[in-house]
Amino acid sequence: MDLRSVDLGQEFTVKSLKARDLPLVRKLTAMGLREGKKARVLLKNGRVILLRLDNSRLIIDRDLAGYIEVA
Amino acid sequence: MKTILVAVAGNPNVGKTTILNHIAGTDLKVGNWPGVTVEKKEALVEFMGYRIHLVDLPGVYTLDPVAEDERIAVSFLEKQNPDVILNIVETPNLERNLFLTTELLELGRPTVLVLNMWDEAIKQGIEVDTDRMKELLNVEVVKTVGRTGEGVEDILPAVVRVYEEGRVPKVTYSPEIEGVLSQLSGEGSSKRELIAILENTPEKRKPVEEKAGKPLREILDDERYAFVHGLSAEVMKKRSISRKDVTDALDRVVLHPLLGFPVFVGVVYITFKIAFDFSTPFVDWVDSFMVDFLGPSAGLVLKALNFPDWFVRFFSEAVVGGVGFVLTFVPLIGTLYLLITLLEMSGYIPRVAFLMDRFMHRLGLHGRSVIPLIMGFGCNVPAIIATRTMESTRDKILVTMMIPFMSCPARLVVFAFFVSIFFRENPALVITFLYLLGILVAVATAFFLRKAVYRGSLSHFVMELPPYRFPSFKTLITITWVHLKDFLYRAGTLIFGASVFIWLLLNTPPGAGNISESLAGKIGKVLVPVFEPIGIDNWKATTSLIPAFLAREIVISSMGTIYTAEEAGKIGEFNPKEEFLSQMESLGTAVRDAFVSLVTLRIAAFEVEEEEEGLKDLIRKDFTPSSALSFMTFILIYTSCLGTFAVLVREIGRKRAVLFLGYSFVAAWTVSFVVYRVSSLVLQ
Repeated sequence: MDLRSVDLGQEFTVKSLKARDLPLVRKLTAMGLREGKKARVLLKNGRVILLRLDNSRLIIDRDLAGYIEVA
Repeated sequence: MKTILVAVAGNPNVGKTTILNHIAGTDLKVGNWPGVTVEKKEALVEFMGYRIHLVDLPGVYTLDPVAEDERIAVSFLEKQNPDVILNIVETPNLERNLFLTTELLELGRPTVLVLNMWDEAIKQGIEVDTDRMKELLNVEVVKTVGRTGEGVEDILPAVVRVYEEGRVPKVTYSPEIEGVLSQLSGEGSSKRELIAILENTPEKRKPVEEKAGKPLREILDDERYAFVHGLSAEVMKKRSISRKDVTDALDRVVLHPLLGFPVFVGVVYITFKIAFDFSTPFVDWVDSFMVDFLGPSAGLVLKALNFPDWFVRFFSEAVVGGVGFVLTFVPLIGTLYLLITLLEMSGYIPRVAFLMDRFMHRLGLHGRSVIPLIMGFGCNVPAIIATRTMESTRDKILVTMMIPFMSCPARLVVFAFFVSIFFRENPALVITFLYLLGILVAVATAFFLRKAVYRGSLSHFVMELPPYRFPSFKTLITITWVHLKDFLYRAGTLIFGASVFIWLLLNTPPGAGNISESLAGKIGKVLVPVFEPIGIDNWKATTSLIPAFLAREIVISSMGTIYTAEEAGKIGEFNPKEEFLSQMESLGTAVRDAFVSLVTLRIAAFEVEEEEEGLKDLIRKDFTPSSALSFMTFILIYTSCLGTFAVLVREIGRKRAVLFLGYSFVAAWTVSFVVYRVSSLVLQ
């Protein structure tokens, strides 16, 4: 399952990232969203999702969320 | 004196600007990176016998030269060969920030690591062993608190130290990778250069990729993450401290799908109110001081010195008037820029991006574009400057080209005047129609640009929401001042030049008794056939459009001059002392009005004063309701505003600005034509 199907408030662990050589996916990784990292879905608003990851809050859009396999 | 070129690099929102501001103060300069619309900040300071040139690179997460901001950062680092890299790091998010640090260390330049927001880290129970960090990486490490400026004084000595020692930082990967890299030629090459050689040497690269079972890029990223992880484990300790997070609590309201909107409306209302109502009394005062006091005073002095009459008029009206015209923008731009910077640095604007994305992305725009667009209803000039907070060039250009269609109070003055003559029965309906028409043209423009020029889908939305922070007052003031200075230098000179030119058009040849005989009048007459199809068929109306290029509301006063054939700028009895005292008195009133405006609820910028009745009678004879509607539509859509044009040149470049001006003229003509024809059928 990918990040799009994670419910609001739910915690998840990043299992893998698809298309790791895609610059945007690489940026996500550099922003801290990497394999094994735990994060939580804080809010969803239209096409954007707000995540809590360690000390930071990330906003990513749904299309990009599709690249993130979670457990 | 020797110059040390310092690249200031870091992730977005780590406080680079604040640090730079503490180091350089008002020596900070803003500009654009060559050929792009991304803002560049730099400063030159003298320290310990060196001239230190600090260049702020765009905030980036990686040195992957793909996105525009990253390309700028990488190209600067690789081509300009900075002597020292100043890497600003957000200590509460140390591990994540260290990925970029690792890529920067690969460049092999002497490096200073600035662990910023040290106080926040301590509150979160994070401790960093800076001595160990220095030793492991062979860099200097400085702890700072950007908000207060604590520790910033240690940065420049550290820069000089690493520079003088020519310290090469250490970054070590796994023995396999280090082994492969050491076999590559390139004595004295940096790690980044060796990696580039490896990427471009298939016979060396392939075995590495085959062994690891993944592409080199992924291998290297994994190496970097492993390095970061090891380093963090070695230098960082985290005690778990349970504490309430203010940001989370605030976000529950501010980002709430329902509650967020009233908050947004409130913030926009307050910003609008302060920006426009607070500055308007000062704008009016500056205008009156220059036109009623300084201009005539200069005239008196020059006359006493026996300068010829034409020069006296030129200097007191065109030169002093032109400077005054530029200065009238200062209170507005200053106030609005201060507020926008406050909203940006406190962390609210990124949240608007999240909140409004649902609506804006339907227009193919980012959520954050909503703020400059709304500000456009107050004044297009600072609204366009406010697009500097936007990250992607595509979005910035799209929004910049939408803003001029947002109807501002200057247009409202013109609408109110014509509506009071021709549409007394339903003024609100006509004015609302015009405002909506402006928005429609803006949306159509964005649509057209997206289809024709900026094709491709809306850029992906990846952004970090910084925690809410109180920016330091000093930083807010400096940043506002730096942008004001930039406006005066760049846009101001263009505005001044053009306003002098328009004065000359209106007053040449010098003997011309009235505007009919002036160059402007002649041009106006030539223009009549162009405007005839849209219902404007007399030279007086077309001529009044020429001075109106300075600012739309001038169309009314210039119509007054042309229709009543009175001489422009006649100087009556002028007593410098009395006028000065009266100016000082009105400055007092302006200050009072500005502060009183803050405690009232209404937005005074939208209230229009009544104009003289005599002119209305003359206009009634020359226009019909449909030609008046067409004229208002034309004024609405055509970018008849020198200030707007000047900032367009500054923000998107001369070529695009001129093209846009042409586009706005054609769009204004076309829409006015339709409005005129349709309303002629309906209103007869």
